[in-house]
Amino acid sequence: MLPIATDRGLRRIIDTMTTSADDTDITALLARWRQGDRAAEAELLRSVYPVLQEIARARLRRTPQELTLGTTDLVHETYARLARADGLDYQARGHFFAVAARSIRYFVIDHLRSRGSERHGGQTPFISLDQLEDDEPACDSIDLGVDWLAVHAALEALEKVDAECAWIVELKFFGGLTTEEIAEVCGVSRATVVRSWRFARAWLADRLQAFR
Amino acid sequence: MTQQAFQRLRQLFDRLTELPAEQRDDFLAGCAEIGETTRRQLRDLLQADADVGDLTVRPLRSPGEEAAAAWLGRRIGAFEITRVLGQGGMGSVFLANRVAGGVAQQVAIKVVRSDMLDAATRARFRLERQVLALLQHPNIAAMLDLGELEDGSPYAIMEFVDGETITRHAREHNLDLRRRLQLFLEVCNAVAHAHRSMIVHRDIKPGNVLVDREGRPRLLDFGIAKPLSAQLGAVDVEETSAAQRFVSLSHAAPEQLRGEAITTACDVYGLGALLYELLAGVPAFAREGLTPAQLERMICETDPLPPSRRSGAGGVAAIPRDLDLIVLRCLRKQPADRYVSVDQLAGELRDFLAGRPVLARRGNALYRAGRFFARHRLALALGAVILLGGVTGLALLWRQQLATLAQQSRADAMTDLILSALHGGSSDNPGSKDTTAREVFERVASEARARTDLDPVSRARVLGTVARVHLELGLPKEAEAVIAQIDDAALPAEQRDELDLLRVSLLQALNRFDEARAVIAPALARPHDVQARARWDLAQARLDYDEGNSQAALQRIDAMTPAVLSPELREQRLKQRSDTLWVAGKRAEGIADSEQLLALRRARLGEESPAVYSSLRDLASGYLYQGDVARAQQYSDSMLALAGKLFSANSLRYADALSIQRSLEQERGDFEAALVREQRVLAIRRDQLGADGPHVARSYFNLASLYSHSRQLAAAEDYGRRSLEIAERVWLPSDLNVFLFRVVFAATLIDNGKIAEARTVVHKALKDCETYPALQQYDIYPLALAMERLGAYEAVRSEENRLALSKALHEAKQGAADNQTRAYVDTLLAHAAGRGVEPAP
Repeated sequence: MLPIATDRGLRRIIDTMTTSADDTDITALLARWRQGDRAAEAELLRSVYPVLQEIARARLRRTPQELTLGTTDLVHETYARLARADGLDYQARGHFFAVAARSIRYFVIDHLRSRGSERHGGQTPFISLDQLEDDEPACDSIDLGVDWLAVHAALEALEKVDAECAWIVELKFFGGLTTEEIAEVCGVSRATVVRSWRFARAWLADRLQAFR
Repeated sequence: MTQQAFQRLRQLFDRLTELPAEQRDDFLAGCAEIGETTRRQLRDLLQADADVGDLTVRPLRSPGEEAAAAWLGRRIGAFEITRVLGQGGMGSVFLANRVAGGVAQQVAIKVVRSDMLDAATRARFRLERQVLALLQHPNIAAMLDLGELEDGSPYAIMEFVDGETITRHAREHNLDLRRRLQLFLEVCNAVAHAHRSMIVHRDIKPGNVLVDREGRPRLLDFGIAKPLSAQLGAVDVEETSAAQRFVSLSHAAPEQLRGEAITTACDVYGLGALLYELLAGVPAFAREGLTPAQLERMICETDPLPPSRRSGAGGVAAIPRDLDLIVLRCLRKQPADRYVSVDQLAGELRDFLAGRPVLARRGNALYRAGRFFARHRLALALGAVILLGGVTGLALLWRQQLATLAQQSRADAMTDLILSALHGGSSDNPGSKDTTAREVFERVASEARARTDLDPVSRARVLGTVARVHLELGLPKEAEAVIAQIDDAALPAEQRDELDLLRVSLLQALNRFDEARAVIAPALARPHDVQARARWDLAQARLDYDEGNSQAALQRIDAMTPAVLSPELREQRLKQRSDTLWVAGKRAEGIADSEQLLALRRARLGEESPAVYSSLRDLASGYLYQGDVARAQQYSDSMLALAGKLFSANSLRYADALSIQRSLEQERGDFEAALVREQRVLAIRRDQLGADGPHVARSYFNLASLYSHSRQLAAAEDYGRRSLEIAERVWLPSDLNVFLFRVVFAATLIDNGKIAEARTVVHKALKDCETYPALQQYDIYPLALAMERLGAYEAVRSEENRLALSKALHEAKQGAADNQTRAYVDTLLAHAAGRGVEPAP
């Protein structure tokens, strides 16, 4: 499992993420992680975050009125730059998305804080299913209008008592992963993912409501 | 809360949510040990669960967006908004009724959010307003007004069409082919009318073509897409809300994604896509499971399958071939390759309906050749951009192409180059057959050399690709000539590395192993990332393998770590391993690797991919060689079926599949069938490769031996002679093929009683064997020697020559390693016996 992002930990990790990731062999790191090497996880995050941050910043600069971040594109671009390959290795996909999800979470939080956003008062991260068009694919964008700072705070609290559950939520919110992919990455059953998500959704909704 | 307490809470929540809502209170009441705090928490959680139960992760939505309900009752112009028809980040669509003027009228109003647009775009909207006033047509929903709200948000008021989309209409009413085409022709009329007023729609798709209550198709949204996409680029305008998409990615023409000039050809594409969906019941490009970037690439690079191959529920059952061709012509990637006008397209369809021949059949082969190159060109252009801008992701590239003028001009220069190369030839001799792919590449190469406006990187990319194509076509000498024209000094290191790998491949194809080694050794000493290193390791292994050093090759291959390699390289490694095991005599292991490779490729690429095809080929020929005819037949059949799906019936790979079928027929002794097959193979190879490539030489050779088997000796000699003529030109004297073709041709000559001529041919072969002693290791060498002795004895029947022949026959007989050679030895023995000479040690 990925290192847990407590607020202090987040700053520390971001602060150490200044070195260029050019020399890192991302494919090998992913392979190591997949084989259970836990040291590879932190190393991956250190490699991925600065690159993803750069791409995301560039994107937001290019379209300042852009209020969303397309996660799939972002992840693919990050991967392409790191691995110098066109396509995301199919087998490594889930794990890479997981690292990317954490990086995106950091980025979004960092971005909102640097913008001096209000901590509370944005929109909730949920939307009703029938508001999604039937013929549209699962959406893969992060809406920067959502009160992610509140979500982040709630997730941190959840991490302290149930890290796995929090991780599943992180993958769902920031990774654009399907249930199957989440199950694969976390090494749990599909049913566990569904159960955890249902609980976490209620728990987050309850908590976020309390802030209003 | 402690972790245990939290877990307890979760467990209870899970239990409770599994129960029907009305039983939950009872369950909670029954749990006496639960404390009041936990009880309250659970109730809150269940309440929250009920609130958000049908909610999922929030998708793209912008916070500044006003609630739709706030618009109800608002007045715009002479109309009052009564209902929200659709909504998205770009704006909203409303239904409105006329409140002034006393006439009842329903309209649709599109309002674009002002903060999404800049001043120039708003100005373009105003300009468009004047143009649209010109547009009056029974099949076009009238644009009543364009204007701006107080906050600067542009709006468009359109006639409201109460109907259903054309595709849905066709499906629900189960329209037959003719009726669908007639509806579509009405749409064509509308678009052609707009084109005459110089208005391009740009976003023709089922959602914009409604069929009203009277059954009349009506085209919506003229003039909306143009000003918008001018600012935002088609990609950025993509919307999640279907009702409110301004330019839809899945229906965009390639040039819209490439950011190129939009002309009426864009609407020809849109109409083609619409007709596709109308006929097949599914869109030309399915977007399910694809990221926007993948979909973009697909639209820009992949040819859609003919609609007849995708037709499903809601489509037309049997789509005639002519309609396939008409639709595909509309959907070509380059605007210039489509119908020149909507009128021409409509004319084609009318011709089709009237049973007249259609134009689309013409020029299809040239188009395919061009498309083949266009794909390479794309790879080139992308590669060049990657090298220029540092290592950049593919998804970013299209956007960069839209944005950067320099890159735009580069792409244009490339396109230009290809187009002038393509057109250059066909106008020279109009009536001639379609240009072969090879001719196209030759022209492209000379065009690239002649162009002074190409920078060295692009020029090297073009020439490198042409060289690679030559190599793939089995023309290493041509490849070498092309690659020799590249000046490496001006190129970045990565590109030089690529070219060096290409040089190694062609040097190996030319059997110049020392030179190949001289390129590989320093490359292996250079630092590389894992993937590049693996490429060089595989090049070295390939060289070891080519030089017969399979032990070293296997060691190198097995020292690599497949897990860290990209899937492509992993498969390439497995392929090399299988080949190496095979020549090392470990054929069962080699076949096992091939089976594994096939499974990997199937899993990664799906059943219908060229890589799967080539694995099937390896397995079919492997089992054939092993004598497992049943298995070989099984793979050969799958291969032929796949070839039929993937490649055209006139393609080289289809010919390869036929060729293995031919071998199997030959194996079963069905020479008649084998002859027919091989003639097909030959026709295809000649068509694709010209009259004298190595493939054609092999076909001649196969035909010669088939005729020889069926005792048609004159034909056998004729084809043998032709095969040798080409072999001597396309292969080097050191090549086993030249040796083999000579020996076999000599055998045919002997069979025909032309002993003296056979001796001349064999002489040449033996001379090469002296120059290249490696050739002496093959079992046809003793056979050649015996043929020479027969010739000598025939010339001078001395006792000395007789003894020498007798001894040579014995050695040839002993040396024969397979059935083929044995058969030739037997022929020779028969002729010697006719002259009273028997083999003896």
